[in-house]
Amino acid sequence: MAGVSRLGKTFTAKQGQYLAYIHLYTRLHRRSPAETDMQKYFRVSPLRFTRWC
Amino acid sequence: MVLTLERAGFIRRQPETARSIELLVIPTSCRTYSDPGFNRSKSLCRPTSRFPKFLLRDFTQTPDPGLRCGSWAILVQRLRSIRGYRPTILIHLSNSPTPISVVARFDQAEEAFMYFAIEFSTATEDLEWITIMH
Repeated sequence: MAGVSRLGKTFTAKQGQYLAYIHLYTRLHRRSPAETDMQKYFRVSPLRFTRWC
Repeated sequence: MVLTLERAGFIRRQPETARSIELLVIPTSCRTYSDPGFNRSKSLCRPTSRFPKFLLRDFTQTPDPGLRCGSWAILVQRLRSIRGYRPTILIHLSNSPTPISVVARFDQAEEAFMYFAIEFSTATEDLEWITIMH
């Protein structure tokens, strides 16, 4: 299941989850998430985190 | 994943700088209730008793997916505000034959919204209705 951004770019469901996380984290905390924040939330290892997809 | 998103042009990062991820696109399914068209004061749910056996919330008449998502989040927050009430919520999506079960464990609407938007980021437009059980 893929999503479409407002600019027309398509992304996968997993990519959409990461984009949603970055978007909402930034809105809630008024700063960008650290990569470790995303690793913890999505429960992925650093290696998997950087090489996924 | 970060490298993939960066190569695809969805985000931008500053090398060797922490917390430098910048979103270059906004997924259409990630709209929040601060967006135009979202009426925060609109009545979302009025349980008739303190502990309703189950409660249905129909979202089929709410065309905006951001509003649907935000409505769900605020509804969950309101349920959490009832002391001792920790219902199970069934989310019915139009593209899923079986409802998705989640436990209301959010103290703030923002948390619930974030959870929903992330877990169902590509499916918010498919949110039809929810059932709340205890």
